[in-house]
Amino acid sequence: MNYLKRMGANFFIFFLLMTMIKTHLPMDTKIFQSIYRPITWIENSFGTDQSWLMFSPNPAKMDAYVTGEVEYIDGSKETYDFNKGIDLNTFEKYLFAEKYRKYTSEHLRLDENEFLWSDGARFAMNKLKEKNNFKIPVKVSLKRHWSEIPDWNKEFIKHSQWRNNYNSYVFYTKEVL
Amino acid sequence: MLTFKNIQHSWNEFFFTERPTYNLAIFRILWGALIFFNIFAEFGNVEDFYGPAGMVSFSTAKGYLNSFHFSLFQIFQESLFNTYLIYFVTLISLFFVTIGLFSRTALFLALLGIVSLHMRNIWILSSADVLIRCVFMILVWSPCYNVLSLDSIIASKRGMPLPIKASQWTWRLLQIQICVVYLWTFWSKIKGDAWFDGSAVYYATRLETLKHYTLPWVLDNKYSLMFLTWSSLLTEVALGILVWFNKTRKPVIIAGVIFHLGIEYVMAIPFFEWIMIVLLLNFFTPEEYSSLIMKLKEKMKATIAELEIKEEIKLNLLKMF
Repeated sequence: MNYLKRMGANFFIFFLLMTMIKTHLPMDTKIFQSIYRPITWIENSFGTDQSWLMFSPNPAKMDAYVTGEVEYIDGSKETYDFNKGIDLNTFEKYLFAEKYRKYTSEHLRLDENEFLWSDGARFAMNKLKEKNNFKIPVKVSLKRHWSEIPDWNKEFIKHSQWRNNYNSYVFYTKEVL
Repeated sequence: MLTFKNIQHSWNEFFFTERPTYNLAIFRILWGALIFFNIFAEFGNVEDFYGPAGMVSFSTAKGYLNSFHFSLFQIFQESLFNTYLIYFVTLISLFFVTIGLFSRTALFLALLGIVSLHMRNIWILSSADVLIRCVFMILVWSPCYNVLSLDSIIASKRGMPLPIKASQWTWRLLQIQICVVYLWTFWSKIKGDAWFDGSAVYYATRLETLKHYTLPWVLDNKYSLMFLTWSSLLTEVALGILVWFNKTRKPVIIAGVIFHLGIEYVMAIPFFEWIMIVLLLNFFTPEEYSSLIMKLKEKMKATIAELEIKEEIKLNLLKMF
């Protein structure tokens, strides 16, 4: 390996090691912010944040999903379930369900992600329009559904058991007409 | 004694020793194929995930990610045609990575394509997707196509064979990357009370939206759930540390594979467990892979020699090995 190539390789190694340790550094201090400015820029450009928080600090203790409900001019209503994983088979879960789950249960349902709601409602409406092209929608709403997993010391849920006690709440409504 | 010279020597030995590249080549093939299927699985939902009428509009995505990122969606006009174009370029690049044709270009295009698709809709991504980008960032600089690739066959035919041995720094970075994933996860988990009191596996496996196959006897007993919770933590820390020592390396890899297959069985987290299993193969040494390849070649030669075919064809087949 020639000198220049080795220099480049060393530079890349340093860069990568610094992105790896970044998570555990006090990044709110000015010194680290200035040191890390170019590194953060590259990291953001490729989306390679190294936080690795799978099931941590605790696994979620709540199931959640979102449905979109469309009201038509004739008074009828239809619901789009954003490919809710609970109702899908293994193959469907593998192909797309997890991406829909991420979108609805970890992002769309949250108040802090209000900026996603209008797009989400439009998407649900368009999905239902594929089935009901002749119907005219007047209102679309998004509803969050959630069910908490009870404390295992109070109520032990068996692995094969399904919970049916989902709460729901309409969190976004948009008049279409 | 810890001197600058000693540190420099150890650094160079660790990162820049020249070793056979069979390990990287095998990893390239498996990784390329796995990520190809990962992206291919989205085929029926490309419009929903990334299209102009998708679940998140271009303008919302652009407004949220207002800093620069290497996305082809920032260059091309928003249209369904361009969405599919980026999708298929990514897919074809991944196929080329797998077979090792125009490998360096294919690796860069695959990285660019994956970053573009991912940045188009970050709200559908998981840790697996971040890991895919991190690994490609390393792989694009590696000599992973020097052997077991169409590029290497073409180069040999042209009389300019690619070197079998190369500096191992990208392989070392892949190994470090894998350990960082396990150690950082372990570190974040030990701050959680569910991992401490042994109930974490209980709650994780009761998530209905992630449920796969049921495992009633094992996952319905509090003691086995506690055992699984704590052994998950132990496995993760072992995969970050003990995997570096020769004596513990192989048992730890096996434990890691069992750990991931177990999660794959009970939880529907597509591709992530397979991604981790393929990554763990990086802890077998280049020499172990070389000897495996040599053994396979010998076996193939013996099989060909025993075939009842024309001598000329036999000789041509033997030449390939």
